Amino acid sequence: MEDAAIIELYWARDQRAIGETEARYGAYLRRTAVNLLELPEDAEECVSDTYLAAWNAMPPERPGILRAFLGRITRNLALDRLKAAQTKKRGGGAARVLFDELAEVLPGGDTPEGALDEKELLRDIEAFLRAEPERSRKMFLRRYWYADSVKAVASRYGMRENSVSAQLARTRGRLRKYLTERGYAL
Amino acid sequence: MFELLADLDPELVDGAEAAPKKRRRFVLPAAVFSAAACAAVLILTALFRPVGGSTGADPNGGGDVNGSGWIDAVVTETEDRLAVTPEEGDPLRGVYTEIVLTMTDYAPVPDNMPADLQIGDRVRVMCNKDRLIDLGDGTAQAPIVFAVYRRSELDFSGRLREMVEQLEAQRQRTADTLNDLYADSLPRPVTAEDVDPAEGFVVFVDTNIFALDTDDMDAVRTALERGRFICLLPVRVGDVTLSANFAVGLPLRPDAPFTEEERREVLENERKWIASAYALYETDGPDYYNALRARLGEIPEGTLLVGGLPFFRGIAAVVPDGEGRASKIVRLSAELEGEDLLRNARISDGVYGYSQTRDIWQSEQN
Repeated sequence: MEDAAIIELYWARDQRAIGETEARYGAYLRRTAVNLLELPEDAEECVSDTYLAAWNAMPPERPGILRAFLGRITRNLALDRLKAAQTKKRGGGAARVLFDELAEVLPGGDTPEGALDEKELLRDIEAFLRAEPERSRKMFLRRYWYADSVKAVASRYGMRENSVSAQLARTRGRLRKYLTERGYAL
Repeated sequence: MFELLADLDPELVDGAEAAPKKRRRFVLPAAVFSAAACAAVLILTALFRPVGGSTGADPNGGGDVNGSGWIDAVVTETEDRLAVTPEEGDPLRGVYTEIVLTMTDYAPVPDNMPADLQIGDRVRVMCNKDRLIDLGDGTAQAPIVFAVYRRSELDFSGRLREMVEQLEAQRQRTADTLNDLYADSLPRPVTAEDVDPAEGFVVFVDTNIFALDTDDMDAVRTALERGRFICLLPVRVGDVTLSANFAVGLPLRPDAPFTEEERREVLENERKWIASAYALYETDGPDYYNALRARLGEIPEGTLLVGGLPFFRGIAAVVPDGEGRASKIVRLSAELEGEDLLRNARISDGVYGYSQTRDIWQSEQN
C-alpha cells in the first residue's frame, strides 16, 4: 500500500493503518532501532512504541515522507531508551562511539537562546550536507542518522572499513570547519 | 547532539536510504546467485584453481597484502555482462584473456563505477585478486568488485605504474618510519597494508609553466617532465592522515661537497624513488582525486598535478580541454596568494581559467 493510502487510514482512525505500516516499514524501523539499541527485544518494543506514537500523531500530522517521519520517531524513542539504559549502565556501546565521534564536531550544552540556536544550527548542517558530494553526504547520514556501523556502511558502498572511517573523519572535519566559520562555539 | 540530527530535512535523510545503484545489464542470470547457487559458487571455487597465493602464477600487482589489488584492463564487453582484458603491463596479461566482473545483489555495482563505460575504455578494477575464479578456458571471474575507475581519471602523470613498482618494495620501511615519527599521534601502528602506492599522486614541482608562451597541453607537459616531480602518498590510519613524499634521486654532481658515505648514498639512490619528507595532517590530508571530482565532475584525461606555481602555493591541477589546450587550473590545497589578482580568471570556487591566470602572471612581471 502506498504512503498516501496508509496516511489516510490513520486519519480515518482505521486500525489497518498499523498493519500496513508494519508491512511496509517494519523491517526498516527494526534496523533503525537495532543500530542504536543492539538488543532485539528492546528494538522490538521501540518499534511497537513507534506505531503508537504514529497513531497519536496522525492526525493532525500529514507527513510528506512517511518513512522518514516514522524513522525519526523510532530514532528518538531509541535514544530515550538508550539514555535510560545508560543511567543503569547497561548496553549502548555502539551508540556511545557514535556520540563521541559527533562530540568533536557539534556544539554541546545549552545556550541562552536555546531552541532558536538549534534551528539555525540544523539549517546550517543541512546546507553543508547538501553541498557535500553525494556519496559523502549519504555515508554521513548512514552513520549519524541511521546509526549504521562502520562495517555496515563499508559493505553498503563497497569500501574498506578503514576508508570509510577516514572519509567520515574528513567529513566531520569539514563540518567542524564550516560551523566554526559560521560562529558556532565548538 | 546526535538528537539534533533527528530533525534533519526528511528528504535529505530519505535520500540516504535508497540502496546504491545497481545496473541490471550486468547482473548474471538470477539462478546463478540464488541461495542454492551460492553453494555452487563455493564448490566451483574449491574445484577450480584459485589465483594467487601459492598456486599458479602470482598475478598480484600492487596492493596485494590482504589479497585485494587492482587490474589494469580494457573493457571488452558491456551489454549482457561487464568483461575486461588485462592490458600490457598488468601482471594478469598473458594469464587471462578475459575477466568477467560480477555485479549482483550480493556484490553490488560499486557507486563509483562510471555510468557510461564503452568497449575500449581503459579501466582500473579494484577487487579481491586472490578470489578470482579460474574458469579453465583462459578466462576468469572476479566475484567481488570494490571499485572501477577510468584510468584517465587516476593516472595524473602517466607514471603511476613506474612509481608503484618502485614504492612496493618500500611499504614496510615507510610504515616503520611513520611509526617512529608519529607513534604518539596515531590510534594504532601503521602497517605495510596502510601504505598503498596506488593511492599516491605524482606532482610536478619546480617548473613555472606560466612563463611559457603557450597553453598547448603537450608543451606544458614537456616542460613539466623536464623538471622534477615527487610522489605524494597519503597514508590513512583511522582518523589520522599521514603522508610520505618520495622524490627521484638526482644524479651525483661531480662538484658536490659530499663525504664518501654521502656520495655512496646518492649513487645508490640515483634515479630511484626515495622518501624525502613525511607529514601528519591536523585535518584533511591529500585526497586530490576526490577533491577534483567534487570540483569538476569527471576528470579529463591528461590532467596533471603541479606544485608551487605562482598564486597557487600548494598543489593545483592543470586541466585540459578536449582540443589539447590547458583550459583550467584548479586549486587543491593551501590558500591562494594574490587572490584579488585572479578575480577575473575565476570560473567557480577554486577553479580558474588557465590562459587568463597565465596572462595575469606574465603581466605582473612587466
